[in-house]
Amino acid sequence: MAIIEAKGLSKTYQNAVKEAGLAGALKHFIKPVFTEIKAVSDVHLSINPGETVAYVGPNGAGKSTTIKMLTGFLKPSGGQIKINGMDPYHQRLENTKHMGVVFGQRTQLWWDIPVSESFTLLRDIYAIPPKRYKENLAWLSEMLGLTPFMGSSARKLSLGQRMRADLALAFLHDPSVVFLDEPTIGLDVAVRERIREFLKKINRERGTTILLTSHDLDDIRDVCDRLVVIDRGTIIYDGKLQALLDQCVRCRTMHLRLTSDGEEFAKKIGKHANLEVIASGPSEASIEFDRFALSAKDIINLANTTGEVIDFRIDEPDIERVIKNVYEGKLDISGNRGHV
Amino acid sequence: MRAALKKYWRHTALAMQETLAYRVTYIVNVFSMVVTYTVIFFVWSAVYAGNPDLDGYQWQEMKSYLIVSLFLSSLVSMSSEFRISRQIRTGNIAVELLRPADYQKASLSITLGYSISEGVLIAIACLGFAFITGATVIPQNALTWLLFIVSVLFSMATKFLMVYVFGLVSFWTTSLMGISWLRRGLTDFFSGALIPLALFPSTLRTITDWLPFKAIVWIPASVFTGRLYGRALTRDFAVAFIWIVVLWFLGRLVWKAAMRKVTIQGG
Repeated sequence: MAIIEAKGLSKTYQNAVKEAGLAGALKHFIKPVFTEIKAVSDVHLSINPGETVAYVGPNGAGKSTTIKMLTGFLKPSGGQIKINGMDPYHQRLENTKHMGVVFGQRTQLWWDIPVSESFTLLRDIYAIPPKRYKENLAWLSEMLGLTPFMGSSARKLSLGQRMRADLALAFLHDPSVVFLDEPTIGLDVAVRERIREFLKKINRERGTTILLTSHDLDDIRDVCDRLVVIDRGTIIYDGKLQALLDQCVRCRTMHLRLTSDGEEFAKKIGKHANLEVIASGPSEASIEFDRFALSAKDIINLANTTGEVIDFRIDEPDIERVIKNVYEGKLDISGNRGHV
Repeated sequence: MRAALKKYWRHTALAMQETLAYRVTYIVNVFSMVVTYTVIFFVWSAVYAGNPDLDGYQWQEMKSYLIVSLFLSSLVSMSSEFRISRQIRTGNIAVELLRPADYQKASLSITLGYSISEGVLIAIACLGFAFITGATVIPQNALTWLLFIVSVLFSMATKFLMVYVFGLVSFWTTSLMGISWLRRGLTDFFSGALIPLALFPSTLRTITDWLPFKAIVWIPASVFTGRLYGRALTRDFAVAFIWIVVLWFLGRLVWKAAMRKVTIQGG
């Protein structure tokens, strides 16, 4: 049975419409006008226990709104959510007992008292049995290296230390599902790496279901085995990360070095349907092409019509480009639309 | 039940630690209170210079009244109000909402923590004040002391709930300043913190009899000086208690409305 289940989930915000200037402000004061903005519409998600899911999309796509609804902070305008079989909004207090949340931009730590006190607070809030608390605290401290700053007040921590403490707090009570909204935002490579290792390990050893949003593609590739892409409020891809990559092997990038002017070449072949010139210079050009429609040889033949190819190199697609293409709708992913 | 008590007590304990972390703020707060009341003290002593008896209030009794009033006005400090409004403004309230703890009870526990650690210092300041000004009117027996303690608890509960409800209004206004001024103005006037209610004209007194503010300063201060006892005391306690219950549910109601607002316009 799915641990996270959302059906036809949607969220509409009311947004104030104000005309410019003082007159507009006055008009709004007397008779406010609102428009509705659909932040999320008809989202279906079904996540099984132990899955690690990356929820990605460009800024403003509806990621945070979805997370806020799944955690029970926001009430959906339509649709249904079940987390551990519970409605997270109406059974909020009960539901939070089995759930952990990290908002990358916020902290659970009390600002002016030692970090360790925030742990005792959560111990008592979740009524964690003393023995289990001790074990978990020791385990989490070791994994995330918390010991050196357990005695400092939160305001003195670096961002990386704060984030590690917040992650430990989210996992302290053995939650069955954890939501992480941008857990690595603003952190350096070493800390990000450590956090990823931690997430993988806790997922493997404790079977914690993890849903994370991130703009960091290493997070996604490293931690998650499933990818859900949202854009303008609707899910445009849901499936294995690898499947998406495989599918995208059809777009390859070829970098050419030419004897002639690359820009002129670009102009000449730029209108071709199955390729796109992504960069060009005085004696070079980079071309992305659909390998099912064109072969590398076709590209070279095209290039040879304006000059001569001296050298070339072919890149396999990287995840960053793939996801960008998904956002931009350049990829045919209709086979995966609505896939669960 | 025990787990629940432990959960909220931990909030209180952390709040106490937090006030202690701000040693300077803590001392400055108390100091500013002392300054304010020194001024008030001199104003009243000028009033009494010409006539030793003001509608039945002797200068001795008035001194005790003012000191107890100082103690009570400082008990539930503005830190509680600021805390709630800050959490709303920064959106950090989301973090607290996603834990299995009731926000109103947690806020109450935290306010209690602030009040305990601040109360100790304020009580010391008040004793010093009583000593310097020679305030000698104190409760004469154990029962009065007990009733005084109960009335102080009523005072704290009433004030906390008002602070809580007004603090939640920040969900709509985003800024606390105006709201806070309004609440303080109403409280100072109607609670008897500025002028003992007994000196009010009778119509105004009837109104204050039915308002919750009275429980914040006037009731405990008058129990302390021995002015309030017997049937009048029972009546005032009953009204205060009913108000606490009403305000508790009002807090719940405003909270629900605030949550609906978050729901509509986003966090």
